[in-house]
Amino acid sequence: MKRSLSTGVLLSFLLGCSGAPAPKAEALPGPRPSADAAKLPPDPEPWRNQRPPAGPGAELHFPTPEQAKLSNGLSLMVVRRAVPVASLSLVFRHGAAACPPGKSGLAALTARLLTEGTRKHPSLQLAEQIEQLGTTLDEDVGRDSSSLSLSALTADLDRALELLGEVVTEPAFLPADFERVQKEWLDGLRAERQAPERLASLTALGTLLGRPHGSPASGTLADVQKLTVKDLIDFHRRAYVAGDATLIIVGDVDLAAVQSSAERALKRLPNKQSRLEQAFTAPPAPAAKQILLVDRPGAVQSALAIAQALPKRSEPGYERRELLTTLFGGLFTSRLNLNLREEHAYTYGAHAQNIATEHWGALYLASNVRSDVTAEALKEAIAELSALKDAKLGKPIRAEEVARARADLVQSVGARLEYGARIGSSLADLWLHGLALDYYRRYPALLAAETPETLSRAAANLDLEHLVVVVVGDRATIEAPLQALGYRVVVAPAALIE
Amino acid sequence: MFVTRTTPAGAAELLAPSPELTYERGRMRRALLLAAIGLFALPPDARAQKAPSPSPPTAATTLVKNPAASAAPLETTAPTAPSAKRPQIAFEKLTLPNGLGVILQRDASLPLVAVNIWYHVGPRNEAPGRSGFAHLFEHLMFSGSRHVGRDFDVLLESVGATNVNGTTSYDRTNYFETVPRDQLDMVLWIESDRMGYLLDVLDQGLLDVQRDVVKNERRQSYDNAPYGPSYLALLDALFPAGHPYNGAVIGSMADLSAATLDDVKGFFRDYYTPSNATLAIVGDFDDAAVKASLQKYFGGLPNRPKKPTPERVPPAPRYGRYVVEEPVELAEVTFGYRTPPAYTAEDVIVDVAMATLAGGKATRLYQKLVVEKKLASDVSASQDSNQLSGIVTISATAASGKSVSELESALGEALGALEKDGPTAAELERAKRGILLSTLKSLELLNGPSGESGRAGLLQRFQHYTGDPGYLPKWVEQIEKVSAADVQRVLREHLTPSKRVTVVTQPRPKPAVAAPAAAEKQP
Repeated sequence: MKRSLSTGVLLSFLLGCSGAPAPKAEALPGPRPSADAAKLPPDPEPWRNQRPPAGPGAELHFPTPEQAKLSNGLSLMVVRRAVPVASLSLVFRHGAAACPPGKSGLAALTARLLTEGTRKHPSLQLAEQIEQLGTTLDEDVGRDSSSLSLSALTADLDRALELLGEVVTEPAFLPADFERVQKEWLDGLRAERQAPERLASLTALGTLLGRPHGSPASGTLADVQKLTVKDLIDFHRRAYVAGDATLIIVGDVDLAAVQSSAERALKRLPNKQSRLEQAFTAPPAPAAKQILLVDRPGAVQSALAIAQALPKRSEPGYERRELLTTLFGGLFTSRLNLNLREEHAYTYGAHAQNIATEHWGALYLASNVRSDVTAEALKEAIAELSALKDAKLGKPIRAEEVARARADLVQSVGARLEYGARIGSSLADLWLHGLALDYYRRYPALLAAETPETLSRAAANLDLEHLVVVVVGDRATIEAPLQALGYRVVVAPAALIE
Repeated sequence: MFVTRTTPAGAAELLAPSPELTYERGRMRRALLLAAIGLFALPPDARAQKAPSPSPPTAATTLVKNPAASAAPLETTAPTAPSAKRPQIAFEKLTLPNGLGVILQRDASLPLVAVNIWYHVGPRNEAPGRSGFAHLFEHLMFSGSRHVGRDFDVLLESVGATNVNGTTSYDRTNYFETVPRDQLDMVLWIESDRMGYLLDVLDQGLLDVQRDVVKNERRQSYDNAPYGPSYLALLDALFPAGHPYNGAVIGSMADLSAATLDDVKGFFRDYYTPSNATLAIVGDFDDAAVKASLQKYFGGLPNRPKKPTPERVPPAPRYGRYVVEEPVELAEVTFGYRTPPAYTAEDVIVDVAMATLAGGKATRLYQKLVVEKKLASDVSASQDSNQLSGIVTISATAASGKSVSELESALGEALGALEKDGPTAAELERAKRGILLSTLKSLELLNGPSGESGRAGLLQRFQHYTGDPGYLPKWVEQIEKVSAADVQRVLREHLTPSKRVTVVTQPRPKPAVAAPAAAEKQP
């Protein structure tokens, strides 16, 4: 995979922004023939040794949405685009981080049950109404938000809005639907936990963040089992309020036309705001040189995860953290992937990313590696982290790799412009994190302000003595080699993966 | 089914071991694995289960080369006059004198351009004992070439290339990237250099590394993935040894081990020739400049005849019921079938049938097995269309505590009921609208995540399977025409119990939990 997930955070404890000058455009690597030239046949096209010059470029312009407020205070954003299918997304500012201790999964299950029937349309009828439009109503609950999205032909937009409004303002919350969906949900959690990389991420983030923030957005089995329909009704009442919501529409529509339909559909959302988010307190730093092991007897690969706390999304230096994690583990040609995959062939891919939420941040590294080289792969991953942190280890951060990471981040924003739903989710991110609507236009300049020096200073703050390290694999094969690396190998607490 | 050089870019968020999985993403992974996608590989934000897997049209196993030998545009829109309401992709098609096919679509709405090249070779062309070879070769195409050198990926990432990947499916192999418009010539330089000068830099060391990477890919995607071994068992029964599709796309470990550098060189000479490839360029480019560049970078590459693949009489499926034990908690039952080739009339009908069975909450299997009988926690139904045979997989994951044999019977009954009574008019309408809407959304993309959706991907797909890049409106028309009786007929003829391979995944009994290691083993 080329890019691993997005999101960033980093480790600097924030050097505000230095006034460092933008780096000069870096010379790109030129041809580097690798075979023994003497052995090659005569070259029929030697002109090919010249790399083509770049043609006329053009800047990407992220669209600025038209904005309005509904009478109940709900924010409306519209991006006009000449495509036949409009994307609609209604986003609320309360997600997994709003779930109290012992009630993980509450936000996710609430969103799911909203789509299971309204006072006008019972479950099957509602699904038929929506699918009649050729679409599905998708709910998505992350750390900081709950959203409901669907797409519709321009001609069906009003109907889609009407159904969306019905779902959030008149949900049925029938006990029978709840019981069925709760069982289905629990089986979904069981299915998720069959994947080794999922067991690794549950263990790593649960350890790094503690409860409740380290619980998965989808919930733990123990918590979801205890949820009641009353919990959901209560969460819906408090979290689905107009003052904490935005409706984003990307399609061939104008603001005025859609505003009155949105008003009709959503006016019953109460005009208020809520404070539901749980305070975040970081657990004590993990023990030094310790590996949490989840045994999967006979597994031919080990799922490896390494996590470390970083500043949360709103801390200054976010773009710097993005650049640092991208060059380290976000690109195909990242240090991590080139080492573990292209040099050693331990894996199909190795990635690192910067997870940044309203309450916490984390550097998260993951790879599935062959069982019999698990210890070697871990050693190489740690060596790459060490080299990133300490320039004296022979791999100082180079201007060329910073430029490569920057190009990737800038153009990844460009790629989102191809797809209406992605424009919508990008705008939702700005709204959630309180960023200005011209953020993506300023993004290239924000990235260009960073240099190898600013990144190196940020990397120096990594605390490699207290990493959370998780391995999910065949204990009989991997335990002794991991111990031989100097790690204490501890069986991961079962509660983290239940 | 396709296998990729790296995790497909669009699916990255779904497939990568994201620690931030939201609740529906846990399922997506499995859905992708099992469904392996037909045509409309997911748009970046789509949910796997919800995307009907329409497979665009044709049975054509011989590619129709465009007769125009010059660089003159042949046609700028679909050649027929389809209904104005049916979607179409405007394009220009030309053929270079060395046989390289080119499809152009200019769209200057963003300063980006997507390049997507299809080589019309895949596992179906592999020699016996060399399963997985076409895909292993795909990995080697990123190893470098004589003039570009070995920094292929560095060059592309330095200019911010996105959606860079290579993928292999049964009949074809593709390579693609999207770049800022000023870098189009660099991409043409790279793509042409590896088309012409790959072997000059390939060596044993590069082969050995990528062979091991591919073996890791197999472990990650199948051997160590939930329901992965079951899926391989299903494919093995549908396409037994001797069938060109045997060995899945990924291949067996033994065959991957056996591949030699001479195999690599021979495969390149036999199949990686300009006349066996089609290049699509979609996005913001200057028409005259791009034609000059095509001539400059690709025009000098000599054509070589493509090696004919001997026609083999493919062995019949090993119909029956297979049980696979895996370290999973939830049992699963999957029905697999062979279906008619891509873009035949029947192929399209099967797509519509699958969309009535699973995808949304109002679909048959979801309503019957999950909501009503509560035997299943998850259902899916999809078709992967190919030249020699489509592959239908219909799957239900048991709800915990429910009997898998009861689930298996209920699944069979639900299919029987659809065959007996046909879909209702409303079911048919929902299925067709779902396919149309996901197609329209796919058209927003310059190129899709697997290189077979998005505009470049669809143009290529239609070219490869029907010989007509402008086939989209005809395909949509085929979809529109599907009747309830059609669905009943294809179910009766192709999806009957006597033509079924059933694979049941049974949870492997868990060993006793070992005592914590640290306490005992650490001093």
